[in-house]
Amino acid sequence: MGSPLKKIMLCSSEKEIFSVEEQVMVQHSVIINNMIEDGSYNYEESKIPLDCVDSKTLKKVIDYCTYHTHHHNDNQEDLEAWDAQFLNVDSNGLYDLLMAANYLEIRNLLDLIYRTIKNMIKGKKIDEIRRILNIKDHGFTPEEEEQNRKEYPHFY
Amino acid sequence: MDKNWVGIPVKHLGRLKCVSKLWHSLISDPDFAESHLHLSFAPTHACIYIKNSTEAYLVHLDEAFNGDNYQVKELSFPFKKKPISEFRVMGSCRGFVLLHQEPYYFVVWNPLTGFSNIVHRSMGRSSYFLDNAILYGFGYDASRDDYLVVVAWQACDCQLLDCFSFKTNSCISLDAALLKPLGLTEWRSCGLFLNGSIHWSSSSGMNEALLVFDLKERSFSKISLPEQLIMRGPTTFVILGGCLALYCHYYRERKTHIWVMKEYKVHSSWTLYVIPCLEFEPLCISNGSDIIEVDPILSVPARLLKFAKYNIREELLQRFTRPTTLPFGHYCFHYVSYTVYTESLLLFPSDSKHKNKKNNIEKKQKSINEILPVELIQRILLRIPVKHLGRLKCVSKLWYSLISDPHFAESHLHLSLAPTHGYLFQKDSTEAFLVHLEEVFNGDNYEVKEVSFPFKKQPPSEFSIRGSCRGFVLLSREPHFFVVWNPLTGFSKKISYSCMVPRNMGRYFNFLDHAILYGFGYDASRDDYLVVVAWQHGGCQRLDCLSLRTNSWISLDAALPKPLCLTEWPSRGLFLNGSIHWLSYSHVKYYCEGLLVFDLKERSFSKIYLPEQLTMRGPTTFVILGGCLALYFHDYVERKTHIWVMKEYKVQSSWTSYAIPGLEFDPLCLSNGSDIIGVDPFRVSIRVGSTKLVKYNIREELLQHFTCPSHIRHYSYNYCYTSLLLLPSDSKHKNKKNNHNTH
Repeated sequence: MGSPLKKIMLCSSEKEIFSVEEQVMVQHSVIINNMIEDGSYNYEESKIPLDCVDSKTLKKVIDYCTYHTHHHNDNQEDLEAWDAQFLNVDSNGLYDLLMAANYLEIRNLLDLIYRTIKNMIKGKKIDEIRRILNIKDHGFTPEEEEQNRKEYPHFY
Repeated sequence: MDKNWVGIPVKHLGRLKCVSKLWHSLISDPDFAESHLHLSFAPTHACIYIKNSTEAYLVHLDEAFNGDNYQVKELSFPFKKKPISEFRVMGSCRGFVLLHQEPYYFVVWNPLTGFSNIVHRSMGRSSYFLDNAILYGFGYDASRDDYLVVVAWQACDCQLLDCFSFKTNSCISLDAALLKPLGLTEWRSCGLFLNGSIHWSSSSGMNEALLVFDLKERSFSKISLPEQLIMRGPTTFVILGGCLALYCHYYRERKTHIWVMKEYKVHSSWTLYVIPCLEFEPLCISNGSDIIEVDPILSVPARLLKFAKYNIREELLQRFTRPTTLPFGHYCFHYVSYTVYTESLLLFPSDSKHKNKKNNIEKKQKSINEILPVELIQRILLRIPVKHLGRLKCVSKLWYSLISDPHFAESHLHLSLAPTHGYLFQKDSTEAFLVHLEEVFNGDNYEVKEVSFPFKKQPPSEFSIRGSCRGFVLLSREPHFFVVWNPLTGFSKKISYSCMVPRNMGRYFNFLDHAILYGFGYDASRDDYLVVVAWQHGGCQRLDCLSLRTNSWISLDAALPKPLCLTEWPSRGLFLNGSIHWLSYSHVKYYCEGLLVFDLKERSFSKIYLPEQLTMRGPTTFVILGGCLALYFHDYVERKTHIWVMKEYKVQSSWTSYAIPGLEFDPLCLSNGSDIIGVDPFRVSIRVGSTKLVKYNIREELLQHFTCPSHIRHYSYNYCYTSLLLLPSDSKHKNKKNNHNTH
């Protein structure tokens, strides 16, 4: 559906409007694909409000979809290198992206982010994980924490 | 709380920040500054007046009239004082004052917060931009969170429009937006910012309209003036109390007329106020109804700057004279240039970015658990190999409860994109070792660990590994015990089968060794793990089923498709999709003819047929690879191992064949969806005693191989998906414990 030149409007939480090729978003975002398909998007007037996505994040999401639409024939290594560069953001930026990708249902971006977070955690000691994810208040009582540390000293 | 603060003059908020950490963060929040600016019941105005091009003074207008101790302070500008460079005030917007410092710097400064931003003005097209300017103004584009300086200027023979963005530090040419031609005036017209646009009084000698430049749309429009003002002599344009206003002096009446457009862009809202004072110059509206102004007439004799406050009922309320100790220059009309601004705590975009970073650090202190919704954290955890989850439980209480949830374990087993396989192999009847297959090939540090079984080692009792299902391993142990064990969680359960031991059999009767078929599986409909045994007893074949939920045996003899072919060895079944599967042999020549399927829910048998190429063939081995039934045999002529995989369960046409270029390769599991990990016993010399693990991918290439330490002899093996699952009884126990905790 839709000619490649058709544009749709996305509106960030700051009410900034982004104009994107329809095809780019339809290919990647399940939500937008559904909106276009069921005809609830009006090309003349409507813009898709994304109240939980700020401009900075929305711009990144659009970058991702655009790049992957136009470069899907590139070899895997180049794409992975681009993805790695793309996700070179701080952890909060990563969470914002994750929530945006989740909201828009962009599956390959979700996968990419999940994988990245997984790699951030995998094989790390508890204290390290807490530092990486900035978990200060872990919720265990001091007794439970001490118990855990005693029981699994190699985890910490 | 927030509402209360909106009523507090912004000037005092800086001090209140120090009251507590909470107040500090509330007041420092950029959104708070924004709402304070817009909603404040007590906007405060400050007037900067400039004595000469290097000195300036600041007075808070509201203070001056409130009877507070007001101060006239000499300003210390945010740029270096020495050598003193000339500057002028170009405008103000949302609490920021724009200064121009010679030769070519823009300085944006919030006198209240002390923030300043000095920008080298890269006005590419003209270095004398102020001298050639027709219009200029300073404003804020909310849609882009950007402060802009707009300058229309006269080049040799044309008029140009430039717009400088502080966000990008660059200048955009917008010549096309210009309404041509702008009338040239003697004086550069300074625009005033309101409602996202910069406004100028008409630049031609005669008043026609206000020129409006919308910073978002980047286009000009006009606002027409009340008729009474059109074609009148000089009027001055100001903004009073958030409204556009124009005033002019009537020398005959000795009055000042102020026209205020009370609703933005509503022509009929122009309203006239008359102040009984000549040459009154309104500055701002205070408390909603008082106009504060400069009254130069009163001040001329003493060359003082004199402020007066009128209210709109035209009464002179108060006046205030600047202390005489600060003498001004000699020119009565040029003695002072001034600018009035509304104070705000706003941060400049670049500044706020910096602050955001700081906030991020604070945000980081909030942690992933507070930022991400729980579902997303759970989805991250679903991606993590189950082996690491035990450790992750200790990360935080939230993670602990997420990971401990039985539903999570269930979905992790089914949805996990990273199922991991443990390879459990016995050295002899009293010792076994465990290795994680994925780890071996991932280049991680893998360990071959001696398994410490959940039963006492002394005296060493004989045991054997009998099967696995959903991460649980079934062991049988002398004398007459089954042990169900989850190596990952450490859970175990011991059940005696002594009631099934025939009277004439002694202590060394091993139930499963005397069976025809046996298998270990899970009945989801009853949430029960079952051990199914078909065996020969007293001349007839029997089928018995042990429920681990009830710890009792059920006799299901009627379900048996009689008669089962007796084989030399008992056939071990494999669990998949709610059923246990066995290779079934025909009575003729022991050729395998199909798979026997026992549905644990229906408690009935059925059959799955093999591909034609496999029927009537020699010995075939049955395995489960990547959640699919699979059979393999060794082709000694081609020196290959052929693997047949039923890619869709019970779809006969989906049998697919793969050939692995290794003789006597025993596939164990599928890893990453396309790699087959297996044992290659062909290379195993019993005497040397080493097991060799190999990984092939389905394109038949040998990927990697790994040799087990030689002291371990390959004897009998078993593999299992690792899982966090609890046995039904165990999870019930846990639930009870949870309930207990919550009470």
